[in-house]
Amino acid sequence: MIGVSLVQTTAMPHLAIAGVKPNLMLLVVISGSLLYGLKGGSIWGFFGGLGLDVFSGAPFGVSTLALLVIGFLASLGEKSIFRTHLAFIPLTALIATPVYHLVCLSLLQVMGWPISWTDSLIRIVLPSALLNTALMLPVYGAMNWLHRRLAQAEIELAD
Amino acid sequence: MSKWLRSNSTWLLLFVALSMIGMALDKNGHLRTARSFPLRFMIPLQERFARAIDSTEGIVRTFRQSRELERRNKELEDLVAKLMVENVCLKEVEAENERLRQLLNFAYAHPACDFTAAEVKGRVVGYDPSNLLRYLIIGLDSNHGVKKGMPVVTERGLVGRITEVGPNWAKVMLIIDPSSSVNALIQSSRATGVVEGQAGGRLLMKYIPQGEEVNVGDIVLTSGLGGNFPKGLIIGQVTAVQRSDVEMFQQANVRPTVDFNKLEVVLVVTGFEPIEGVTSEK
Repeated sequence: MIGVSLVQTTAMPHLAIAGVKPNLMLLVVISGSLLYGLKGGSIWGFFGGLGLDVFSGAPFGVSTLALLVIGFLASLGEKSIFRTHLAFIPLTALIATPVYHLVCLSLLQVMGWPISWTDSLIRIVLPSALLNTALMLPVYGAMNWLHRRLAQAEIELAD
Repeated sequence: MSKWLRSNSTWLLLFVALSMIGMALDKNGHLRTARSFPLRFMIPLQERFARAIDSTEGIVRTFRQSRELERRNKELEDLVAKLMVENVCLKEVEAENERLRQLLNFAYAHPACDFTAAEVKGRVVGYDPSNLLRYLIIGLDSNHGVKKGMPVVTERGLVGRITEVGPNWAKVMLIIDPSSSVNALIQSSRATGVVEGQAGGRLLMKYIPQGEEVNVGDIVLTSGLGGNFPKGLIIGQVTAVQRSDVEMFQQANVRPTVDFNKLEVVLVVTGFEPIEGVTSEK
């Protein structure tokens, strides 16, 4: 998670399009939740959020809570029969990104930060959703490969 | 007990509870030390990452463009930036000269355009991970004379202000952050207003009185009102004006002169003390 936080704060800004950068941590949390279920998703969300909160100028806990919500919601897809469908994975990112931003914006507004909902939706949320959807498959593929390698290592150890 | 601990929902509820406790503690300032502690060790890593990313990007760029074109382009860009600042300074001096001629026994502080005597250079090591906020992290701290509230600039203009200082880092809120607001004026007409950051990294100058002249292409500077920023720093250029007879004020879209996507080194103006208790946050 530390590595993902570092990449998010240093490399991702260089991939920004129209001022919007991909959210690698969000994609990692979604992938982790789809692969490991609710408990795994909660752990990924919590520590992933902590990693973002350390570097962020937002009040502490905003990213953590938002990614916990995503971890929970995405974990519902672990047992979905459509999980192996190719379109399912990017679709989770397309839905999760607006939900993530909705939670963040709501928390920021509750804490007294000035929020323009219309501007944020048009200029940040929608472009972010498209960008994250485009990157979701490679990120999930990498996480899936890691998951299989770890599972294989566990089996070999058990033997 | 072990069954309860094995329950997946328990973990989720536990993490949610921890997050909310963390938020409450942070709001009251109790988490400041704990929050800055991990950054102290991650900043050197982040600096290495940033350097590696910059190096990789440099290699890719070399293959794409010829060296000569790149050098020439940089020269021209530096020249444009330098000429723009010089032009703004000269116009300010000219306007000031005119005012002083018309007033008797008037003492007026010359707007400083040169901060070389009271600046410190900081390398940008990272950006805010979110698209909703616009912050960056620089590798400077209080040992360099950096304090909360100090303005941050580049040769192109105003970048933002220091909001937090840690043991080996400082966070800078950019002027394009939605919670940033800077008292400003139009250079030509001296009309005042407030430049606020907008979602998506834009700037909007608000509260310009009706009847004041604002045109596309006008340069927007800091006014110095409020004591948060020195007067005369370049913010940007007007790209569009919104006027309505039924509104009390005009608004203007402002394009910042600083390219916030390509910041590598910034200057912290350590020779300017912002007024305590007044913030530029909305």
